[in-house]
Amino acid sequence: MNRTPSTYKSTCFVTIDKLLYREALLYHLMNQEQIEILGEASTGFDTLNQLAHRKANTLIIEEDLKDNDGLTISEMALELQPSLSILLLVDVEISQKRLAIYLESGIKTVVSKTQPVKELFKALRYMQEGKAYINPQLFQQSRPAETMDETIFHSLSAREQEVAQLMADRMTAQEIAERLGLSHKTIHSYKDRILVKMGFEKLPELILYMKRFRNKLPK
Amino acid sequence: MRNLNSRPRVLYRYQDSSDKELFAQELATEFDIVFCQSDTEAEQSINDTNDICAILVGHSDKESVSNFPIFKLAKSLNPKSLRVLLSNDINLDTMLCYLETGVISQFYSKPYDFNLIRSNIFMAHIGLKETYNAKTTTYTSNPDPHILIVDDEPTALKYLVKQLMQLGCGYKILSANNALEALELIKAQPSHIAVIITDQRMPGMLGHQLLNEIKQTHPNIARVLTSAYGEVNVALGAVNEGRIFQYLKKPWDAKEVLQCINDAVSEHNNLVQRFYAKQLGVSSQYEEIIRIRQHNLESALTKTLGNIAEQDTLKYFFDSLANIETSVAKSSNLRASTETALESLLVSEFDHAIQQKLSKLNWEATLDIDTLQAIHYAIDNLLTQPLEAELPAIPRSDTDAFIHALLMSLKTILSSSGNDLDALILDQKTDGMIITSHKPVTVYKHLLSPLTHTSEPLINQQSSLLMLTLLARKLGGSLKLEAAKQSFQFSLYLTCQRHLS
Repeated sequence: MNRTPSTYKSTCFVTIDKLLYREALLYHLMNQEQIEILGEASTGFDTLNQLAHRKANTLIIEEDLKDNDGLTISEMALELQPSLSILLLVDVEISQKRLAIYLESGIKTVVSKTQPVKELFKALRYMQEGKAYINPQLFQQSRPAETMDETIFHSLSAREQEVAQLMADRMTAQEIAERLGLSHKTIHSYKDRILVKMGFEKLPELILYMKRFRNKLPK
Repeated sequence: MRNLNSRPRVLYRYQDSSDKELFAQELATEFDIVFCQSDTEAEQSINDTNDICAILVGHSDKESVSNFPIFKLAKSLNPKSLRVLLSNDINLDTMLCYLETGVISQFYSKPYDFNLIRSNIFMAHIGLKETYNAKTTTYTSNPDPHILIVDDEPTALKYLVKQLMQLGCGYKILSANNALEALELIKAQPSHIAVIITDQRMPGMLGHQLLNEIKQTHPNIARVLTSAYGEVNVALGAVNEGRIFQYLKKPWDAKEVLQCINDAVSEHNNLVQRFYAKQLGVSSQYEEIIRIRQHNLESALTKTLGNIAEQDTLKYFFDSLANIETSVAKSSNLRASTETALESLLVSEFDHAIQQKLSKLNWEATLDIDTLQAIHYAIDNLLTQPLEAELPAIPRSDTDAFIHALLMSLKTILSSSGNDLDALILDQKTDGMIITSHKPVTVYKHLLSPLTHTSEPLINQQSSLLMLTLLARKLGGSLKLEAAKQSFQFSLYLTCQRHLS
């Protein structure tokens, strides 16, 4: 991929009406080194007020706000700061026509609440590169409950499976090394390889995956 | 016409079967792919199939890149189609040359980023080529073009500027040592800067990121990227996403740079003219849309209101709205009004909201001085004890219902701009009372603004405003709106004496 490493951070403002939902997303965002959270709001009015003083380059905003809708607020925010990258969170699948209008109005990407959080980060990454991004999943009527592909686990070697299980039990590399009688260094390289093989970037993703994997196993 | 949610059709001219398999695996779930093994076959398919939105052509390293009849054909049939060359080894100059003619829209090399490929195909499928958020401009030409050069080596930069002056460069040259400085300079004089030339490698924001941002905010500025030779990947990214005008290799040759500047300035002039013409077209088309919208709203409301309101009440309402300046119409607004049911939805939703609100009121009820006192008491109560006071839950009498409707309308209007009822001032007059807002009420969009969709908050706020106008009349008074930019202030005068007219 033609990515040049950059020290340029994305400074993010998050507008979501429901606090639980907003905090859940904020926790995820905090885990990303490339993202700095600059502020948060529950209403559109507050968002525009705060954005006038803060230099955020990214806005994650929910469509369904109480005072003004997220799309209108996005358009106003773009008038205030045309370089702002906006990710709009929508409740339901949207039509291609609507999406075209959203993107033409300057929104960079649209993520539906039915999509996994991973998709949101994928979209954020493209946005950071200044690209508008469309995920074809947006138009799919059927919604996957969760992304749980059992074959991912089975693609690991027996040893890797063992290490993955222990990692999911939140054991440190040192503890795993002692348990398996391997060196600390070996475990570290296992850790990296497992994440790469499974397509994960962060440990919490692996932990969640293993939880779901085990829950699926017959009792 | 495209279907609401149709599957994009893609043509892929492949080089070898392993690539064919890879693309089938990655793309076949979302797209209908027409696989072609030869140019002739591809041309045939392009001619026979009319809804191909993207053409992907694999290019083997041995082949010469001299001619792409497939792309030319595809462009002539659908200029908005995505035309991608997949190649691992292509000369940068050739690449730029192709981009200039517009025959090829993007270049991809291995390993392919299929997320991006899918996204771009969809973008072409829904008819989006470029999006930008530029502010509207008032100028049709740039009489004094400035050139902005950005590089983190001040000495090299100084030397180049000196050389350019010696060569007789007639334009004013500004320089910046990093992206942020450059952005500040552009912000300070957006209408003068015609060309930006930036180095790729700089601390902080990189050159291509800077150009991307400028493309969004100032699409009229011609963008030139420079970097040391060999950074093909960087150039590739900038070319694909940043739509740069030219790529200059470093070290700079002042004569070459000057030539580039001259070309870029004329490109800039073209861009300015095109942008202005487009903007003019959009605003005149939108004026017509608003005219029709207002007409449809008025006729729907006249029917709904019957003898509740005189014609001049509606006229006053729409005139007041028209005076509140909101955003300028953009192509997205035009698209929403012409390609979706927005216009008819807006009228029916607004009309429905008014019907709903009226259905709770007995318009024949007699309101007298007791009603006025009750309103005064209710508002006074809300103002002095904003936290404890509550709106009457279920109105028990006709009078209650009017008070309730009045307070709800006020609350809705205020809360859309982050205020509550405590933003009101209540003044007792000998013949009644005046309720005023002591802060401007922000209105981002109203019924006569450029819209991209209708939403509950919009309909709610706007219908509350009309209700307030109607209620004021019913309560023997009037609502006065003082319009400003994106806001208004109001004063609601109530007497509860029978309206004499």
